[in-house]
Amino acid sequence: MRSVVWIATVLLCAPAAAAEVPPAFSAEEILLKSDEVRYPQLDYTVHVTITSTKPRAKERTSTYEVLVKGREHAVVKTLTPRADKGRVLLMRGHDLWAYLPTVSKPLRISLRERLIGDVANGDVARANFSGDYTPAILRQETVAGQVYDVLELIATRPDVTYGKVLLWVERNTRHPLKAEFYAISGRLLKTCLYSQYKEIAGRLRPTQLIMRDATVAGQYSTMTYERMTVEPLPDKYFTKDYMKKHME
Amino acid sequence: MGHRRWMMGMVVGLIVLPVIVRAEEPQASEAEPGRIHAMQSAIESALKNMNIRGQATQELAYRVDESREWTKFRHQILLTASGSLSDALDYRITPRVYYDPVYDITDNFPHTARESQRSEIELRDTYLDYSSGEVDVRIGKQQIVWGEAVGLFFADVVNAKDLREFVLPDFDMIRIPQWGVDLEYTHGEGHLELVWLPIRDFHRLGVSGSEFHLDPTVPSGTPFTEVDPSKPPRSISNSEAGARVGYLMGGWDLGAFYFYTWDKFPVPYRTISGSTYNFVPQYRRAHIVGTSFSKEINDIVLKSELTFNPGADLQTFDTTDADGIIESPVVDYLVGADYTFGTVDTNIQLLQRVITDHPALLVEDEVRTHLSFWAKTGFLDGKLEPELLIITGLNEPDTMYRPKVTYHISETLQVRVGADIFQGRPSGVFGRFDNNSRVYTELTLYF
Repeated sequence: MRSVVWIATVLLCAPAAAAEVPPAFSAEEILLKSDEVRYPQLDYTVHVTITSTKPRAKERTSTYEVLVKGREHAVVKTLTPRADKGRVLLMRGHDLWAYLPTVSKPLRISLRERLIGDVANGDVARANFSGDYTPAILRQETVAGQVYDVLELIATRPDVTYGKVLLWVERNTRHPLKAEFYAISGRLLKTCLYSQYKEIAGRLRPTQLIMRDATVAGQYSTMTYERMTVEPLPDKYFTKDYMKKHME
Repeated sequence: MGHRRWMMGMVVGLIVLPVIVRAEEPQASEAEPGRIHAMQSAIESALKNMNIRGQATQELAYRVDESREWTKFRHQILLTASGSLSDALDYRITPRVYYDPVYDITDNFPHTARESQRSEIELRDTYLDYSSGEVDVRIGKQQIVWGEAVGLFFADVVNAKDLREFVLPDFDMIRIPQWGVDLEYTHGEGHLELVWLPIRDFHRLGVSGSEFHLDPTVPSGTPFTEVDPSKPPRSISNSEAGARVGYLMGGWDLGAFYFYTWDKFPVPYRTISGSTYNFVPQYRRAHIVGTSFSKEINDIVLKSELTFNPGADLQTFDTTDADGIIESPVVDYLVGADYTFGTVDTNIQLLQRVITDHPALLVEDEVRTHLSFWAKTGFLDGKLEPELLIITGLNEPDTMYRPKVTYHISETLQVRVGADIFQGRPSGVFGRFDNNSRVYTELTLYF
């Protein structure tokens, strides 16, 4: 079954030559619309399940509750595995703290430290590309009969998780199809496939992201989004001093 | 005994009071059945929403220096029950029980150590959280943690510490939760915290004959006697209070605090009779001010904290001094940096204690400097986690090595194997335990 999905995915993603029709929107507008498809731009909470798969290793699954406020603030609470329950990650802009129950205090950490498997802290907690990256329209491609604008995103600051991102955005719906993440050196680090579009939090959104490690064959993480709820969240939830209360 | 009864009363109060508060005020005597029903509903709702989790741990330690023997075989259960009583009111109850048969099945420790460390039933973090707008209040037995340091207590001055196993357990187990009120106000990037601990508490130290007992410092070969420190009564006038402000500005996380407290170590006042030092320790009040900051620059996280005690009580070897104690200002500070090399998280820190007014014959050096290094990584997709902490003194040989490996057998079971190795002179912070190095295992089941 997994093979079938994989083949279908490859077929869907296989690029084909597309007629170069100038897009009606600027790169910034396309990126903004694509961000709006991926995540609500208001405050929201969502449960995320991350399954990490590695060659010759057992699958590993973790679940998180993620709270997001605006474009800059996020809290990631670890729900499982049991041994990690109570761990909390806070992101305010590019500032990060981790709360570990055994230490009972928030510790400042960097954006590049890994959370689980192939998923960096920034992948879970930092939802939007716009703001972090400067977009440009690289080309158009037709994939499975649909026309996609391929955006090249260049990191605006050195502390952004990836140096460069290529993003495939469907021209009519602004649904992202896939992304490629590159290091500053230009080396391909990961690819991401946006799939399982479902009606959540008021519109069709991708509910499954498959992050594939480009440097290790057969190594990938699947992020599944569930129970997305748009609701106002107090500012204090996104402060270092409130982290101890998130662990309850 | 009276204190325990008071604690139990507080616990019952913590659970019952919110239920009573939630129940509507009776308008007339006939409202009684309605009130009882409301209370029953509130209790049922609280129990239904109660989240109970816990961990069972078995710890085994073996001393590998002179007089090799088992020093620990502790079996511990820690439970946490938490939940919400209303949108604004949460609670947490954390009982702990442990028993260590090493004090029963071996004769490695004297009766005093057995009495102190064989078993314990205690209530740890147990409190109510009230939240309204920008204000949060936590009332109950709690840990209040200030500071940025990794693996060390510096600005972490609020709670008394359980040092019967030195600083080897997890920090949340070293801190002794204290009864108190923690009021927090958050506005924008600013944070204000007011703390009041009505019941003073002091560090718990290893008794004579226990594995990590701290002897008073005397000139080499000098006989001494020591009595238990006398504790001030539990009264409002002996309570502790403080305030902390924090502000996040351009990625700089800045903090400053003041805490009116007690020196939680007893001050070793002494008299001399003949050649014998007679120590009569007492607890003294202390004023502590401090600052802290952290900032990330190019993936390097910089951290620092500083505390200043304007009147620390310090021990002197000067035999002409009447009580062997001299008051002097003391500054403790550290600067540190975190960096991740590939998949290896690291931290280095420089720690210094400076006695700003340092007369001759003071037991402590004028400036005492330590360096610490910490590293941790993961293999097998994070299932195997090696970790190393080294703290070493620059004034004299005085080092602690703490290598350990944690293996996550499953999502709910982990085993840890490690060593705590001490080297140095008896005058050192770690060297005093030069004969107490140990290897250990810990098996933890989460449920």
